[in-house]
Amino acid sequence: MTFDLRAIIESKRDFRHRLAARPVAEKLGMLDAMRERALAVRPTAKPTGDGNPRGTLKGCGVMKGLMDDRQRERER
Amino acid sequence: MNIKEVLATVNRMQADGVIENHAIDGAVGATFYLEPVSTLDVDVFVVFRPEGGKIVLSPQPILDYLKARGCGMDGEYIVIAGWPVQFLPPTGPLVEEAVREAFTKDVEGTPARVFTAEHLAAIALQTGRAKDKARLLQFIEAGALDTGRFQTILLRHGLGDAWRRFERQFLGDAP
Repeated sequence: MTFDLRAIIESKRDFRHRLAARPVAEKLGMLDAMRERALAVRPTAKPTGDGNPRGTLKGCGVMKGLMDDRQRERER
Repeated sequence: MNIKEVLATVNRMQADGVIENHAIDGAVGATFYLEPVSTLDVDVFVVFRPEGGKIVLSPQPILDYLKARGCGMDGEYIVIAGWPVQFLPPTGPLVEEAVREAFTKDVEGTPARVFTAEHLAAIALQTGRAKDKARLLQFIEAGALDTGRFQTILLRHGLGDAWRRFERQFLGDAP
């Protein structure tokens, strides 16, 4: 384990690549499990297709950049 | 909840002549190429058999077929093996081409007809929502795209400017 941010980012990237390389049947099984978990955590959520109920990420700083992008598209 | 059963059911529906062709899009389609990302529904583009004199497409044959096999409705979705499934007609030439050129991949003996990675990425660029841009970035960072094929698709469907805007916005500072 390290606090080297570059190494952490590289490790995460490597983990995603290894996950992407898993057999497709296994990955589809993960989708089944993730959907069950998402429904268990938020049982009243409508299926938005992105794993999150509508509105839960509003105001979140992480999403602000992408929401600003959407505003620019509307203004164009 | 069994997404493989969704694939098998749609295959049977095509074999029984309810639809002429189909292909999986969205997060489920992307799972064939990338790490799985949580999603709550399955998007399936379908092509109907041409019927003489009919101009308006109707999902009714699909609904009738699946309801007769025990599937229920949840708003605009039909629920197959616990998964809300949205059946969509192709929304333009890019998606029409994507359905025609979709791969058939094997999922433990069940064929799955899915868009190519390059078509998934091009459709994400064309759709342009925040989550589509995030998915396009995933394709790029995973090295999952045949660059030449992707660029050819973009040029053929007038997405060159959209790609250049995307590059400037998201790839300008890429390490």
